[in-house]
Amino acid sequence: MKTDTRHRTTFGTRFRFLVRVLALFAVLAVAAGSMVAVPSFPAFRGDDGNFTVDHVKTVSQAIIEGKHGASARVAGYLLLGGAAALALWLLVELLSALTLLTGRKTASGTNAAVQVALATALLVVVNALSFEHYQRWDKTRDHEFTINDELKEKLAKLDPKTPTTIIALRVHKTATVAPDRSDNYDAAAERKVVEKVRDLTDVLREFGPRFDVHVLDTEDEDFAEKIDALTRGDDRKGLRYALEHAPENSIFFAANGKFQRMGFNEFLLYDKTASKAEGADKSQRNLVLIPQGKEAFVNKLLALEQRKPVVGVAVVHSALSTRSESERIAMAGMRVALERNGFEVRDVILKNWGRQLTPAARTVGEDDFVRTEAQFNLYSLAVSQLETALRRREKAIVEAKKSLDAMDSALERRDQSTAIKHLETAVEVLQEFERRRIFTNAQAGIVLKTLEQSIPSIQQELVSYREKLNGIRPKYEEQMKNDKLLESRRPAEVKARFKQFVDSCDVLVVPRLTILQLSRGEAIQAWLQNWSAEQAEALKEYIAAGKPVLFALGATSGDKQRAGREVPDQYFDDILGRFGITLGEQAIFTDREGEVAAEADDDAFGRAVEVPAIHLDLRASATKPANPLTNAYIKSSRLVDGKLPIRRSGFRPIYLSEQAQRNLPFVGVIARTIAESWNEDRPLPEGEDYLPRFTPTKLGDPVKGTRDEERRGPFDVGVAIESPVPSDWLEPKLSAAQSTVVAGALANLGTGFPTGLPLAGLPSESFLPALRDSQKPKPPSVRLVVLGHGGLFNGEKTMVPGEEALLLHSLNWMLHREELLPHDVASGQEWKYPRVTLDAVQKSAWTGGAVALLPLTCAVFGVIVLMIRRFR
Amino acid sequence: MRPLITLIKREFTAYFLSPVAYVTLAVFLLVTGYLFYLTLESLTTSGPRGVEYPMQGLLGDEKFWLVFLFVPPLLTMRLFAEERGTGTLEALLTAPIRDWQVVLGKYIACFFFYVVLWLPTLLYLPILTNFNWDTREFRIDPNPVWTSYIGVMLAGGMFLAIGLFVSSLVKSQLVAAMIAMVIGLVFVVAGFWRPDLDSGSLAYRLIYFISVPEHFRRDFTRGLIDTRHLILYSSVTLFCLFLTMRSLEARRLRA
Repeated sequence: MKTDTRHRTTFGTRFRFLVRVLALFAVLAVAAGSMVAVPSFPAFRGDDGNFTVDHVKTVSQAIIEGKHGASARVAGYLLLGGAAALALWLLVELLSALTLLTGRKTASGTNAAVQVALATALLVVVNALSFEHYQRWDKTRDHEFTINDELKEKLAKLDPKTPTTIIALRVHKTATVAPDRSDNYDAAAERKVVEKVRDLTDVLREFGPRFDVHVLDTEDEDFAEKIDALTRGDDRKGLRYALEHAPENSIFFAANGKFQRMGFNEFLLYDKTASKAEGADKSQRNLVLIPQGKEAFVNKLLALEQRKPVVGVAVVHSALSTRSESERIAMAGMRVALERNGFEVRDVILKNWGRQLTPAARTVGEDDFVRTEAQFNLYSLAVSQLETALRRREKAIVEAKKSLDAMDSALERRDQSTAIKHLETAVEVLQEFERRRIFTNAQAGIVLKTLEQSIPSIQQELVSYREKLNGIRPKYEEQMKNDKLLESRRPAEVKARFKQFVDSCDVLVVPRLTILQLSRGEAIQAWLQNWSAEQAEALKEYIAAGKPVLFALGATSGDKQRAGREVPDQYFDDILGRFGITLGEQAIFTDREGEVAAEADDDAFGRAVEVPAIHLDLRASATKPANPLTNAYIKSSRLVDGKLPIRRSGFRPIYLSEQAQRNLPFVGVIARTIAESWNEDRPLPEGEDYLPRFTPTKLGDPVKGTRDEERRGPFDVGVAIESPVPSDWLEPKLSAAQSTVVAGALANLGTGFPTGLPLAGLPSESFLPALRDSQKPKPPSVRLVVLGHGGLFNGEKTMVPGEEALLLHSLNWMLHREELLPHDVASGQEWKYPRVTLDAVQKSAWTGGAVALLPLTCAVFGVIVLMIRRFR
Repeated sequence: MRPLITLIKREFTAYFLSPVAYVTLAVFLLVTGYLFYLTLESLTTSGPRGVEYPMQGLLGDEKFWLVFLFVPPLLTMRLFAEERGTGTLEALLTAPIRDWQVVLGKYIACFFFYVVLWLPTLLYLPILTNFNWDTREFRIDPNPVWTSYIGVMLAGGMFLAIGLFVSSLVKSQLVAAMIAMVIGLVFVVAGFWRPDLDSGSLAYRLIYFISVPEHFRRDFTRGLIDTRHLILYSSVTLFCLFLTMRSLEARRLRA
């Protein structure tokens, strides 16, 4: 039979056929090997998507050393065998293709082969180079994908070899201040932020540092696995906790065991108010995000290596501290809020609450140590005393019994004298435990019986105290090993200790909780929380160094009403007075609270009233722009459609002098009560005898026309200022006594300052104009925030969203971290989806034209061409 | 140059005499028209929906690339395969025209038709840039439009060069189209498979490097020009044209 000579079967064709069949089996082998490899090799279970040398090593070890078990060895053979067979196939196919391209004429064929090989090599090399060294040109109108030189310089400081993990975590809560239930706008905002984070990271990646970007969604089925993979290792335990407890959609930056968090809104502020603004009709709605700048993102990235700002919280009792779990009065919620926003919180306790109220300056740990030590000593003493008592009683019982038995024996023998002697001995023993005189053996018997009966209760009490002692002993012994705690026991000057504490803080929070709920008459006495002179002096020096303080000081008028005396904030008045800030003493009663009180209804009176919210959206004045904190608050409130209220009962007025306001570049007042309120001298109800109500101050009353005159609101209840520190705080040498000498010297120098005046009586600042510029002290500027309520930041677990926003904005502003304050952008710079306005006819025309008319036109032309060809 | 220009003219005219070209054109415009309609819907909607970069709606969509995958092979399949099938290739190769002129002429003609394919889409631009006829200003950034068109031209050039090379190797037009499509699939399908990989990992970077739809979704349609893409498209185009030339030369030597 004749074979078909068109298809010659040569060795080459047979070989290629066999190699191709082998390659197909190799594909099967690699697939099967991969399936077995993934569960068998730990290195294959990573989720980083990178194939590394480690994987090859693992496979080699599996085959050669038999590590990871028999199945891993099989998988290794399959993978390596398959890979080898595929490599052979690729080589054969390349050689075949080369033959096809180069023909068979030897000389020219070789030449062509070399050319093709060179071209291939060139293709590979050029692309490999471009893969590693590339340029991205941002041709967008607004240069959306470009970062400025300043940021580039900052990024250059990062070590390119240290990978930084960026995690965009979606918990489906747009902000801590937002309600739990999110809507379609929230979801769209979330998606857009994640997209923008990826984009920005891609841009940053061009500048060297290695970034891994991951997106986690709590609603993903594999959320737990992803979190496991990202937080392997002991140095990422903190990150894991933070991821699991993130209060809002967040971006995490992690490297070298450290991490930082920023809310989505710190990167792109979601403006819900503008998003849902209806305008002419609902067709105008759009998603509106306000870019907060790439700087905020990069700064967080760089902040990984920076120290966290330390917030010191100075309270008078540990129950009021951020470590406390006391209901309503603790500030644990504040700690949570601050820590998750990148602050470190330290408490200092300012009072010893022993028999006498004395000033102190202890950390919560030290305070706890003092209390533990006191308890340990108390229990030790109790145990010791009870043991002694028990021993004595047992001994007395034995001796008394012995004497009484001997007495009974003597009586049986009718030996009266011996019996009396034994009775006397027994009485002598027992009398120690009985106040009344024991005369008879019957009385002695009763006392003995009572003594015997007391033994079990003493034993029980002893067991109880021993348990208490044993319970506290490990803690006490552990604390005793802490040198710092032991050091704190040494008597030291309060001022020095407090100064040491405040110097370690970047910002100080001074809360003084007085009014809890006016309508219920719940208040804490203010005088208990007054500071000592040395504490106030340390605070003054702290401020003099230009360090910021946030005061949250409650009204004090309740003291006068209840205790009949008022110890004013003498030191705070003095300190704040130098900045033109005066603290009003009265509490502000809102009409709503007054109405509830006036209902004279028992239930109503005890009822918690929803106090009207204070105004924090105070606009700019005619001459000054709004306060930075006001702007930040307004931006934050737009996240929740303007609903970010602060409702607290019993604010106190805060007055800012006109002079101080004039010196400020912005409006100093940041918070104001509603107009429907009045300042009440006696704010606490007193049963049925007294209910606070608005009673205007009568003519002739000494307070008429003063700030203390009872009048209608609104009242300013918060100020935020930036002011130079009084120069005499800086230069003690310019104090009154020494300034005489200075002035005299100035006069001699011919400065024109008149001599012979009673210089000692002049304030030291009076001499400043006469000093040369080089001699003048240069006072630093300090930022202070004063709020007229001591309980704004109190809460056991979580803070009220509005109060949290106010706290964070205040701290960030005071620490000059303006980039972390939500800010606005120029009109038109907000991020929005682009929109095109078309009426129905236009839209229909465009749609029809694009979808139908253009393709149809082409089809018609095609048919005509076909017809012409057929016709020809 | 004259033979080259003549060849270009001949090849370019041939497209308009073939119904396949019109079908390609109609289907292409139908798909881009539909995508334009979707983009228009996003641009005129309200609420939290929309499209940030209108060109992304057009070229960043998977549907577009699924259709686009067929376009270059349909345009290139006949270039050499038809000549080989009908036996006119030998005549062409013996004509007073160099191999490179043959390859370049066919390629340029094919590329011109590809440009023609895209010309009608320029009609969408007033909407995609929200052009104000009164003030003559673009209310939507127009730069992503031209970066997208640059990308489309270069990527198309690459796919056409691949198709041209494949067409030079086989006799059957259908086989040429299928092989070109399979090769083109390497550059397209990676973009459809978007695993949840860290965008900084080597695996993702490799996928991204060769994935043309991803280049458009992330870069060209957003006004970004990345040298990696430009170099990939240009180098593959030149390489394929070179291989086509070598292929013709080898054929001549074999003959």
